[in-house]
Amino acid sequence: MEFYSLILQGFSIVFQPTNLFLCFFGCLMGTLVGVLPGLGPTAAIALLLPTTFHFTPVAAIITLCGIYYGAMYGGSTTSILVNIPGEAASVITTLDGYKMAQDGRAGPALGIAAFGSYIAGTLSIVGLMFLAPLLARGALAFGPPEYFSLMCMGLTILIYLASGSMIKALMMAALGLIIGCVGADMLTNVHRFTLGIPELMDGVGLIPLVMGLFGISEVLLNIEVQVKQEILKGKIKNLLPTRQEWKDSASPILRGSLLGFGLGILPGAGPAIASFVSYAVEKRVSRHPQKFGQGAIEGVAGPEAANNAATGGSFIPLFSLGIPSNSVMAILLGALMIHGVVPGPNLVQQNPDLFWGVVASMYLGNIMLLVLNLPLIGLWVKLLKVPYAILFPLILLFCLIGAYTASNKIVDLYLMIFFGLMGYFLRKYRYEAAPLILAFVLGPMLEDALRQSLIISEGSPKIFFIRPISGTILAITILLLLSPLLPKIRKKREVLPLDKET
Amino acid sequence: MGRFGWRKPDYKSGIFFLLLGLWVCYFSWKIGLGSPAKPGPGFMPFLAGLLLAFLSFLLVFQVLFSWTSPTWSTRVQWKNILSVLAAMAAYGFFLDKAGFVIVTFGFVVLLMKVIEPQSWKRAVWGGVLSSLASYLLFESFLKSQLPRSFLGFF
Repeated sequence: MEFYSLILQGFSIVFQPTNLFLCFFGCLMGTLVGVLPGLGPTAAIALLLPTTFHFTPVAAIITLCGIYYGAMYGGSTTSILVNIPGEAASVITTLDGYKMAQDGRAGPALGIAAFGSYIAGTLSIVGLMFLAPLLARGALAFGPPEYFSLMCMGLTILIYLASGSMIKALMMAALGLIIGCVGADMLTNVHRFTLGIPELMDGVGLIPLVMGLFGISEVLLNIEVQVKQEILKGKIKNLLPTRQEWKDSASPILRGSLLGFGLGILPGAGPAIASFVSYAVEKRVSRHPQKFGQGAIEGVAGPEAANNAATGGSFIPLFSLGIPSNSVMAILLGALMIHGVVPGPNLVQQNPDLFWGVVASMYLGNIMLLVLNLPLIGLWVKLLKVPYAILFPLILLFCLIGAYTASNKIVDLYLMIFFGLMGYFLRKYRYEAAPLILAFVLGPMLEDALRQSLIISEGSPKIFFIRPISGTILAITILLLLSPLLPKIRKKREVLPLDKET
Repeated sequence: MGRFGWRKPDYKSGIFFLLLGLWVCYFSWKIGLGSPAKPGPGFMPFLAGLLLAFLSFLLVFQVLFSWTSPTWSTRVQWKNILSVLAAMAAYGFFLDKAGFVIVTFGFVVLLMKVIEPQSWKRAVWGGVLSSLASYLLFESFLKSQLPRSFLGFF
């Protein structure tokens, strides 16, 4: 009974005019970001974070969440129509989606992507609604050692799933921890790595860091070569899939939803990896695997469902444990803290309005997105025709304004430019930014948990191993870290996709 | 080593991060590591720096004994990159001196003319629209405090 009253309470919050408008605004922005190549959800959320400072915490999180799952919807549009994925989670959709468009079936491809996303998105919210409070209750027994082990595991899974070199991913995590240490020490007030710059005493801001690493570096990478855009000619018709197409897509959507949701919960996995795994699964279980890559609708339905379900799943560790599972969640964690909400197992209990309001907004947001993506598809196609030469000054401008308005400090602008250049070189040298961001956000919490645990145990690191929950988590972490030494697993890791935006 | 080492991007970046990691360790040691029972302010950065240095060493070591090919193949338009960086730095420098609207206008026009040159008409319109729209959005709607010009408004 209590459950129903809570969800009703959530809906009553969402139906307040401001929140309703902001939910729509978030979804609209997310679709826009998803459609436009060159600006992923991570950068977009960081970009709009300062604009939410004047909102209530619920309204702010509703807006930012809308951007995230909206981007997952919109990302498929460019993949299908122009063979350019709007963000990393839609890369796989290009394989069959674009082929379908070339064969004159752009309508059904877009249609099934939107419907699949809707179904999977809704299913994952149901999962989130039941699982997050449950997990949070269990996590109340956690002390500093458990949190330390859990954060170590989160970072390790992210590194394990990172594309390319695991050493490089670990290096990025170490760098993120170091950047997270900049500023005055919490306990002793000693200045660390401030280089004599007084503004750095408060530490490096999340917004300049994320906007630099994801926004500015992306623009720099795009303008170093000429980008040629081609657009599908002809009208898009028959958006509603036929009965046969529905029949072919039903199981992939369900499988994709389950898979995506499960992978979304894992720290570090996220939507991009969920979509790749779903594609591989669909190809394996299909009776006609040779059709994959030639315009098979299952190859669109499964991955699109999976990436949307993963967004729902990825909220679970954030809301129940206060631990972000990917860089978008890391920014949301930052947003929660800026708004004075303490993330952790008490969040659902202490801020029921926030949790249930956000969950209810997701139900509504998914319906809004269906409307935004299907009848308005023509509008998004038109938007694709805006040349990059006009787009990139605007992206840069938004980054500059965003970094400035977040703190009203000019030094944050320079910091963002610095991190932009750093991000550019990191990408050139094939280092991923996601482990860096996650480690940066987790760093201060990790340090706090480590120091507190050591104070409790009077300096003995055994505390992490002898407490049952902490010990089990650490054992899994160590196994994961050592597993690439086994040649069989190393081979499998190499085929993991490039996941630059989750 | 020099013949096939320096040409590899991983080698260069590995050396860079190795030195950075060592510097972090040195600095952390200087500000105080504390004891295991009472970790000091340098404790965590020291561990992170040590991890970075150790991993960079592994990376460099790996590169020296492998034959993977370098990845920098595309011709980079450094002019574009440097122009954008300079324009952004100038934006930061002039923002609180000339005011938000004027600097934003100049920034957008400059970038639209320099990277992939647009017509003057398009660039000026782009500058006017983006500066006014962002002013309205951030200053009027979102109540952010943007720097004003010497004229006292905008």
